[in-house]
Order: sequence, then C-alpha cells, then structure tokens
Amino acid sequence: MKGLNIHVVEKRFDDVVVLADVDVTIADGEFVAIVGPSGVGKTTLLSMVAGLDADYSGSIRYGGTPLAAPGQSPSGLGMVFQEPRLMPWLTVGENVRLAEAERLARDRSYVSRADSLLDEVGLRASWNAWPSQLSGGMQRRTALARAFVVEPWLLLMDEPFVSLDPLAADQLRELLRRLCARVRPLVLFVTHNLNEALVLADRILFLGDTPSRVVLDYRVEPTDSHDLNSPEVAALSRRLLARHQGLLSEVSGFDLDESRRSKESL
Amino acid sequence: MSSVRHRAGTGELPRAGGRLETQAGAPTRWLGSRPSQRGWLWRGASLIGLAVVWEIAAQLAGSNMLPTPVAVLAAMYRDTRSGKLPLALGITMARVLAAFVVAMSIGTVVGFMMGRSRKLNLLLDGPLVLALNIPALVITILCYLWLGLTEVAVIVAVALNKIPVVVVTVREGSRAIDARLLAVAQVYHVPRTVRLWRVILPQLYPYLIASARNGLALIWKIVLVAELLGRSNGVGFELSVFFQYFDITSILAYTLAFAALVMIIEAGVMRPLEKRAMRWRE
Repeated sequence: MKGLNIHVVEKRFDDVVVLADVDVTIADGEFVAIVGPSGVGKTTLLSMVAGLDADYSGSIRYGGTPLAAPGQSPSGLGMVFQEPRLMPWLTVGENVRLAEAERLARDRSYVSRADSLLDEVGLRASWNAWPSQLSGGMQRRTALARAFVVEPWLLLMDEPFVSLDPLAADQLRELLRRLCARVRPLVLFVTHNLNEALVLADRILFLGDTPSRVVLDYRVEPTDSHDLNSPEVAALSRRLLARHQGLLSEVSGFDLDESRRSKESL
Repeated sequence: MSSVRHRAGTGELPRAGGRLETQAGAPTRWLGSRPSQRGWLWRGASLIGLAVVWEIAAQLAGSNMLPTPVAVLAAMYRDTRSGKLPLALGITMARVLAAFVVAMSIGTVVGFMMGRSRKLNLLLDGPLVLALNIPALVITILCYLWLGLTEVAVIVAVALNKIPVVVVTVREGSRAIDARLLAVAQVYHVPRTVRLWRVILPQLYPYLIASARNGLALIWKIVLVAELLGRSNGVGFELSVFFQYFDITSILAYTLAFAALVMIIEAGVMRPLEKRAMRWRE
C-alpha cells in the first residue's frame, strides 16, 4: 500500500505512556495538521517520524517498508522546528546550503538550489547576513528555504509560526502554500490553532485522551479563504465543533479563544 | 575586549548583505576603533609606569641585585646582536609550539569524547583529577628518567602537563553542545566532516580559544623548567647558566624577551583568530 503509515503501539517516557494505539495512513502529497492540547505528544510524534526518537514500540512505514533505519532520519525529509534553529555562525546562504551538503558531496553534477530558494522566500539579498541580523520572520523564512531546498517528499513542521505577529504569520503561511504547491510534499503540520489547521490542511488529526490517541480524523472542507479570522473559516470551525462536540470535549487545547481574541483586536 | 566589540557591532544592524554593508559602513568602524585605541593607551601607560617604578627602585637600591631597565635592555641588545638570544628564543619557541600542538590535539579529542560519553567520563575522570594534581616538576623529572634527556622527553613532559587542563575545558564545551542543532544536522543527513566543521566545532570555539590562550602561557613556563633540568640549549638552559653566575641582568633580559614574544603571538595570532571565529556575534 502506498503512503506513510504511522503505527504507534506505545510510546512512553519512563513510566508514563504518552501515545498508544495510533494507526494512521497518509497519502502522498497530503497536508495533514495535527491538533491537540499541550503535552499530548504532537512534537513527540513528529520526532518519531523524523527518526530523532527511536524509543517506542510500533513501526513507521512508507509503502510497506520501514521509513528509515532505527535512529536514522528518512531521506528526502524537510523539517521546520518550533524555533528556526539556524546555525548562528553560518550566513543565511550557508545555512540553506547546509541541508544540501549531503547531496553536494554525493553528486558532483548537482548544482546548489540555495540561491533560487532564497529568491523564492525573498531573502536573496540577505545571503551574507548572519541569522542574528534577521528579524524573527526572516529567520523562519530561512528555515523554510532550508527545508525546501532538498525538495522534500516529506515535510514535518512543529508549530513553525508561533510567536510571530499575525501579519508575519499570514505571510509565512502564504509562502508555505506556494512552496507546497510547487514541491507537493506530504506534510505533517503540528499546531495549536484550529483555524490555522483549517486553512492549511486537507485533513486534521485531533490527538487527545490519556494516553493520547487520534480521537478524530477529520477531512477538511476546502475553502478559498486564507484568512484565519474570516467568516468562512469561523463557519468551518463552528460546523466542525457542532458535529463533533462530544468527541472533542476532551481536546480542549486547540486555541479557538486565541483566534477570537485576535479578531476582536482587529 | 568583548564589550568593545559588541559596542562596535551594534551601531547599526546591516539588514541585507551583512558583511558587504559593514565594509561600506566606515563611520561605524571608525567609532568602533576608538575604545580599543584607548585600551592600548592604558596598557602602554601601565607598562611604562611599571618601568619607571622599576628604574627608581633600582636607582635607590644601587646594587646589581636589581639592575635598571636600561641595563636589562642593553643586555638584550648585546645578546641579540651576538645571535645568542634569538637562537635561545627560537629553540624554546619551537618546543613550546610542538608541545602546544600535541597537547591541544590530544586534549581536545579526549575532552570532547568525555563530554559526549557518560561512561568514558566516569572511566577517565579519576585519572584526570589525579593528573591535574601532579606537579609539573614531577612529570618532567619522570619523563627525563623514562625517556632520557631528549627532545621527545621535553615535548611529552610539557604536553602531559597541559593535556588535563585542555581536557577539562573542552569537556565543558562538549557538554554544552546544543542537541537541537545536532538534530538539524541529522534530519538533513549532513556528512560527518561537514557536521564537524560547521555544526560541532563552532560550538567549541570559545572553549578551544580559552584553553589555547591559557595553554600558551602555561606551556612556556613549564618548558623553561624542563630546559633548565635537562637540555643544553634554549632560554631555560641559558637561565640556569646565568643563575650560576649571579647574572640577574641577563636573567631579566631573557625572561622579558620571551614574555614579549608570547604577548606578540597572543595579539598577532590568537586575538585575530578569535575575532574571526566569533565574527558572527557582531
């Protein structure tokens, strides 16, 4: 069977079981948001897929074969962390090229795509700048360029746009949409913000319960609105909640309040 | 020094093309150079002050137990012209550099591994503490007894004295390595050598620079002792001869000459290297 299958029998930290009985399959090119309260294991799930955490029982497979050797990251992976995680001693351009280092070493005919990626995220002029000279939004653009320079088939994003002002976050979401439209990776996008999930994703996995499992696997109704606070998106989230109120009552973490607050302030 | 650099850097943040713009931003650089020039002024003044106090004390003492600075400079000049002083300096400096390279290389590798592996750290921590507490003189004597009065014995003895100090510093650095940045390297399959040079070593630079600086100062002191005990050339050997002849003037002349050389290396090599390695902080 094609697609990414994440099957977690059990994941524990010491004596605490954080994830259990997770079994989802995600199709190529699908954009999946993972939503749930803090501490529900969203980041842990991403780390497991990324090969950064191999200490669990279960399997993560692609097309029936293991995604990567234990303790290794899958190839063709792009990842954007909660913080930009740029090397402060490398320039913006060097940071993007770092992700290509493997390809550059392996394939002599490979020509770096760092320039064109920096163009795409609007940072061509900042090639020689140090990360410390960039604004938070620009640092995240660099991290996006780094993730997309490898033309990933699998993209993992862990709340990449938190602690940005709403305008910068909007711009970055737009940029992400553009890049995804070109590269068409399979995306796992962790977020607290239900509206963000609704405008970006094809499908939302709600994590909840103790230990965590997927309490709702929701296919998102397509919308043309890219504005988190638009009436369309508000209607989408109202319909979703009305239909699944009971199931989601325990998943209290996705932040409806936040989007309501920012709407009031506008 | 670092506060000076920070002040110079925060003048205006070049938004685009960082390094290129700072080149054009001449006024920033000019403003930045003032505090450091003042720093040199103070340094120079304190050294001159010291020389003046020394001159007065020597005049008052009026004995060859404390020669005047002028007499010391004259002795320096005399032995420089005869070639004796440069030869001794050169030989000693070669030993210092050899021991420095050996100690830094081994100390860095061992310190790095001890910082990364709990087991290795538990295994080697006891011997490390022991090594830190063995007097330099004991290690030197033992090396001469075991390896003979040879060049190798000097290098080994001095390196052995310095290695534990490097290990302790680099171990701190390797413990402070940011696992989150290592995760980035893993996710993107960054090859080992690139990972070492672009992800790991830059995090160790502050620690490597600190131990290199202390290292140079410590090593030349130990080299002199080793030369005095078991070599027939170099600054340490010359000092032992002057000691036998009560030649305090020459003792001071050779010591000051070597100290000056070390200071020049510090200012001419160490500090520019540090500046380059840390330029991203500006």
